[in-house]
Amino acid sequence: MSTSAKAVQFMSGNEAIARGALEAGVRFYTSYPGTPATEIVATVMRESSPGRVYCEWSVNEKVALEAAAGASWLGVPALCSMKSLGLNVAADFLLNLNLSGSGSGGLLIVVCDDPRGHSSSNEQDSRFYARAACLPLLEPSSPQQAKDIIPYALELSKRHEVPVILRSTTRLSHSRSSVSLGDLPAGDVTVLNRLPKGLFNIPDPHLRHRDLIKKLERISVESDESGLNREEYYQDMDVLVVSTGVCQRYASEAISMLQAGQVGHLGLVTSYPIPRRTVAGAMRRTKRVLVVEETDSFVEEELRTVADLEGIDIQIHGKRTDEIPSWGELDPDTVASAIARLSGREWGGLPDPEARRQSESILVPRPLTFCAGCTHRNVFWVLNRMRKRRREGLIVLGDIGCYSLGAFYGGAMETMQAMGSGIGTANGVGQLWRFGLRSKVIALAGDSTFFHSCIPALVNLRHKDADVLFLILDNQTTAMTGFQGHPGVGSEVDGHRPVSIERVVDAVGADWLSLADAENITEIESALTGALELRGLRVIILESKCRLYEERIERNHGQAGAIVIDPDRCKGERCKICVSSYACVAISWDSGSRRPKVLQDICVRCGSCVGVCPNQAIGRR
Amino acid sequence: MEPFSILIAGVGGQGSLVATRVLARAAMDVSLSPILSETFGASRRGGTVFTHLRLCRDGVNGASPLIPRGRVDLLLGLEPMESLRAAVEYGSRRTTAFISNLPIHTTDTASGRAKYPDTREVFRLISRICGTVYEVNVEGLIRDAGTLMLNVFVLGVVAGSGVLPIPVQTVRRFVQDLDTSVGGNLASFERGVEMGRNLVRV
Repeated sequence: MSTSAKAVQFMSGNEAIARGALEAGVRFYTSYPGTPATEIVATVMRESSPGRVYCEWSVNEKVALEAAAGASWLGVPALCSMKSLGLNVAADFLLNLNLSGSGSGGLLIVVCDDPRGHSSSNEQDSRFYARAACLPLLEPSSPQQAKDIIPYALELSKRHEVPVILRSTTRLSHSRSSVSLGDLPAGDVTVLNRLPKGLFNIPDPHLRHRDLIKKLERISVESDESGLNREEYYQDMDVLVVSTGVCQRYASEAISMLQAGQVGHLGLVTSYPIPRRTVAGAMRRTKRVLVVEETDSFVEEELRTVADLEGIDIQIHGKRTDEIPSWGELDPDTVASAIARLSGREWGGLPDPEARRQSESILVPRPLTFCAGCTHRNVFWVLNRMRKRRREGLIVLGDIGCYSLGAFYGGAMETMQAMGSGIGTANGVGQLWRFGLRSKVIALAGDSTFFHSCIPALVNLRHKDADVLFLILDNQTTAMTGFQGHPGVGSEVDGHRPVSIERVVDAVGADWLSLADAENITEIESALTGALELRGLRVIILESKCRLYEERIERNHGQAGAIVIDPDRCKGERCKICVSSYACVAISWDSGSRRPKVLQDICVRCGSCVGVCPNQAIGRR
Repeated sequence: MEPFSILIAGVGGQGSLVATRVLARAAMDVSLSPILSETFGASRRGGTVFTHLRLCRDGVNGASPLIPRGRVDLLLGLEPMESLRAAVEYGSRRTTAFISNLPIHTTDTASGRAKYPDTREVFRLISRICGTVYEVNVEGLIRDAGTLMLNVFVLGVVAGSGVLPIPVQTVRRFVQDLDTSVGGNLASFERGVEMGRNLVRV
């Protein structure tokens, strides 16, 4: 990006947020990668002039927010972005920082929620943190608005010295449209040499709370005057739709599809604190309101409160009245059908229902799967095999990353909650031998997850002498979100010094620690078999490299000889282990020859499958 | 005015995002305002990928990034079963569909745990839902250029058929840009354009 304005660019919501922050003069950026938030800081890294901003992938969201607050305290405008679940990690700090204040630099927290959980393990509505922390919350509806609102948000944060939360959702973060750009500022930033006074809430946090509530009342009035909320009212409105975020566009589309002239629309961008005068004025113009928002009934509850306080006689419809679903993602059709029901209009279903019904009966799902040659598959394949062969059970506690797909791989991985929860729950399961648990207990996590939140749980395992085997699936990158670095990876350009997983584990004091090559099935199997014979805290680091990273970034696979299957040694239908149980996507079943075949344009030639075939039919050319 | 709505249906790894971005850039070049909605994640790991692209004639602010059901004008299908899935959810008589005839197995159909539906039946059902359906024969392309070029080839067929509100030469310019990283896109696109000019509907 140059310093002068480029007229128009085709941008995703996340890119627009990044651009808005650069235009607003934000100089300090922190984040932990997570879909759908990753591209915000990734864009800043790509687009900012070298040396002008500081940008990092922090070890986790709590540290990211703490780092950003440190910058803001000393006068440097800061932005911290994360996915929904990331804000849970940062929440402990957030619910103290709100009272202490964010200093004069200004601090923006961007949280990207994922209604329906397209790429998440829940569909939480992170807006409740704004209410819990008494902090202002903004919900832009389009990439243009997301960019334009950042300077406003930063000024708001500076003026009141509180963090401002900007909330996006998947369909804003990952949709693109034309965005008119503004100028990038040229000025310099002045770092204060001293911290502002009173950056602690003791001994009277309740008085800090009182002061924050006063600030919120002032911010509510400012929101009324901000001009950010879109108001379209008519005489004798049938229904007034109140929407937030990207739902504003679903509502507009729905109103236009219904050709519903008498339906009003209040598109709220400043959704917390609620702009009380604006919403009270809007509710006085109609008898019925429909609230359209994702995912919880957040604004809906606020409207009920305002109606009650202001004595407005009105019906408020939304999630609490089952007009709008309380779970899942919304879309224009769901909104249109709710407006139609409320206003007595026609809204039919799709034509040709019989053809659609027949089609659904023949469609089969397309589950996600590990990439060709992914070493996670090797580990899970070995775990599945050991589970079948061992008399005592095998409990596998899982974690978050590409290897989460192990849950769909014959149920190899049995649990998945928060980052670090595999080894966290192992602290409980690994103690149950004393009550007669016979199964062996395995926890697993990836390299980035290890640094993010496994270390305290590992320390506790060691200290309490739990009986657990911990597998660290190290593929040297944060693969799921597109290859961001983490503390295990050094970089000369960035001045990042690698932290060794092995030395951390060793320093904690594991009873037994070994390394194994995750490309080699025999080696994985013998390492696991050996470790399961022992007792105490055992750790195996399974070393590998992400195949996609090799292919996309390093472009170095495919140098070795091609992998081929010898049709004479292959037992075909009678075996099928490679194609149905190991199931690398580069091995397909050829119904003509009734033999498996290697898809050479997908195969990464790692040769892991060689060790899978019981008949030695797979080999390298 | 209602936007011209395009749905691209395919499997992760087929390059539907690349094809959609080419169309979006070409649309901007002829003063249409595109709105594109992508789903990531699945795109890397072999899942179903639907990409919504809406071309607006009068500004972009009002339109939803998701196409309302039944309001797809053009279905660009990179895989038969995924195209049927898209037709069931979003297609109607106003939809013109261009669909690759090369099935891509799922992990379950490859291993025999589930059955991939009969392709004839897939095309028959799509034709019952969508107004106009063209089966795009990709065998020659796959033989000569491999599977990686399928996205620009189908894009060429669509551009050549004349259903897009964007001239072929504009789309071509943006396909050409792809060749700076991986060669061969333009040639496959041209091959598609040629086929698109002579298509016969199912």
